Amino acid sequence: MKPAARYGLAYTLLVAFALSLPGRCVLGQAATPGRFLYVIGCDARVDKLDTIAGRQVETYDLAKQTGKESLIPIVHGAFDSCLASQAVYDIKVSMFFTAVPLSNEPKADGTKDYRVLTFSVPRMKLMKQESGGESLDAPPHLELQSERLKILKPSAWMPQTDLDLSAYSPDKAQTPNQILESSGDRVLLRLFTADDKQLVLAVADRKTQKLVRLQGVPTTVAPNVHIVPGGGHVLIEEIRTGEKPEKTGMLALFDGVTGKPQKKLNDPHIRDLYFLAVSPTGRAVYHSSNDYWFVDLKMKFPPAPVSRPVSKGYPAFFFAGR
Amino acid sequence: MANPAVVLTVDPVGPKYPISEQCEMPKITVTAQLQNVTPDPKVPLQYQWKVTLSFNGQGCAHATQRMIKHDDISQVTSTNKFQLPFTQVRGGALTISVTVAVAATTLTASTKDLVVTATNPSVGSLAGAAAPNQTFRKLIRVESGLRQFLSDTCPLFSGDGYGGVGLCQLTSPAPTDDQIWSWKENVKGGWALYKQKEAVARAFPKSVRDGADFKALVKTYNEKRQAKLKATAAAAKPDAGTAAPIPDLAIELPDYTDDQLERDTLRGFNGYAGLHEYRVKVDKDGVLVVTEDPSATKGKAEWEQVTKEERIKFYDQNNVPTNKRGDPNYVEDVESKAGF
Repeated sequence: MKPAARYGLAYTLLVAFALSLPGRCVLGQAATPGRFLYVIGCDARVDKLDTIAGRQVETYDLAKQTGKESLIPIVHGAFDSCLASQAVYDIKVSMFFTAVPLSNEPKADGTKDYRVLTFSVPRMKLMKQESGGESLDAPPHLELQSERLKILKPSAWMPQTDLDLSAYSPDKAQTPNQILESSGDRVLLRLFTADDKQLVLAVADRKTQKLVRLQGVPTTVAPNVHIVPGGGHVLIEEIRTGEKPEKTGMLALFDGVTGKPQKKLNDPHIRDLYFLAVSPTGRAVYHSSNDYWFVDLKMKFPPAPVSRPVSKGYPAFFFAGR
Repeated sequence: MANPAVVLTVDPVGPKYPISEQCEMPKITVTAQLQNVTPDPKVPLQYQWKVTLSFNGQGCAHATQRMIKHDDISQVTSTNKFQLPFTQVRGGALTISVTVAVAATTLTASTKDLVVTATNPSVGSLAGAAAPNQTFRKLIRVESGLRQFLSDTCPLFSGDGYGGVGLCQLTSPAPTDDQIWSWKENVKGGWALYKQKEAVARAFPKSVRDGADFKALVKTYNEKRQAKLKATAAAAKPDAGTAAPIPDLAIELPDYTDDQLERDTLRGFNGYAGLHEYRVKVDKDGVLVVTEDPSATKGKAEWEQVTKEERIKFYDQNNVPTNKRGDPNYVEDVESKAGF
């Protein structure tokens, strides 16, 4: 006799309830928050990575996850624009949202219609589809606001690119700056100074209104500086500057509270790879296409997402416990 | 005594019937001869003709499993001659059948092993039919080497197995049956696609200007500029107190030049795969590169052509599989070719 039949509806409901709990105990197995990294490529393929085991564990083609309905264009050869844009993960319901074009070919005026698809995590089952907007010249912007998904026209959205530092101690000065990344209450900033060749980095804490400059920063460029989940640390990739900047393989971890260097690591592998993210489990994840590489920072971070005002150059991704 | 029969003779005898270089179907006349039977002269004969012409790609390199047919022809005549009334340009296996009732006997006959074949256009014919745009013509040379057909029985299908075909290697949207067998239709389809991609390329600068990424770049540029100007002002007049606010520079991102438009159109023809031929130029720190106007009230951002290496980097960074990238060097390949 099958268990569900033996124990009846109560068992079925219990199992269903347990499976619906995101990032918590599933039938006795404790999920590690942010253990799995889901990378959504431009072609709507999802790679699932186990950041603890340090390997790719699954690949899904979202175009094949929509059942009988073909909701993501099947494209032979080179496609036009990305077939999936953004991946907004809602940990409360264990689902993610992504925007997809209705067709690969744009309309005569160059625009496209979009839909927003909702997939369950980790099963990648299509849960919902809704309009993402018509005749748009870029994919809509997706954002979770008050636990609800907001779908914004690209022209109606503008990221916050700088912070008013006039209330931030110790200087309490309106130093011109640029938000590079943020996580939790902390914001990684580039401060602009008289010397526009100099890269000055700082972490602003929105809660305590404190600004801490990073000290002894290795030679680098702004796109190679990253805040870790929760904002407690900053990871800097050392760059050999010259006509063509190159990574040296050296990574420096800075304390986001004191601004002081805390740790240095060296991994020659990362020289030819692209930075993707730092996981809450403490791995810096690198890749080139779907070849992934994990650098163990030997630390753990809170499972808070990292946001970037300009996300160009990165595939969409999110961390989940399952 | 021998059995009554009907025998078909085809003029010309074949077995190959080429579509002309100008995409005209061959003129084929078939004659049915009754043998060993004398029809009643008072009863008019009716010849029921059936013609099929189909191509399934068998034996053709990289052909997809797609059946392409001329609409079946069914016609009844009172005479024994029949000129095939083709209405579409198609190649492939040709079968002509006739059925005729003589007295109480129904006689049938069919042809065997006939084939309608293809003819590639000469450069002169192609030059007469293709749009008078040298970039488009060079593109045809890259796509197909100016060939619609690999051989007289096979259209030229793309090596990637995605069913791209003919002079313009039309792939997406999938080529029509006409575009597979008529090189003129293929060129027409290629030009329509080129113009469609041109419209997309033309609209691109505006979509970038209106986008959040460019607005963010402008904001950051002005932040950086403000820092420098404030410091310069403070150094010049250390006791001046609080400096007056510095207005932001209005930064223009121009439309494409004709050359840029042409190159981005070419890129679109091959497939952007998420990245146009040009992008907004930024420095190594990701700050917008701007040429400031001497009036210090406005500036101009610029477009930067994405090199082959940078394109491959983008694809690697964004997990675009190799078979979905197109040719990273496509634009240069086309531009290096000779027109016609």
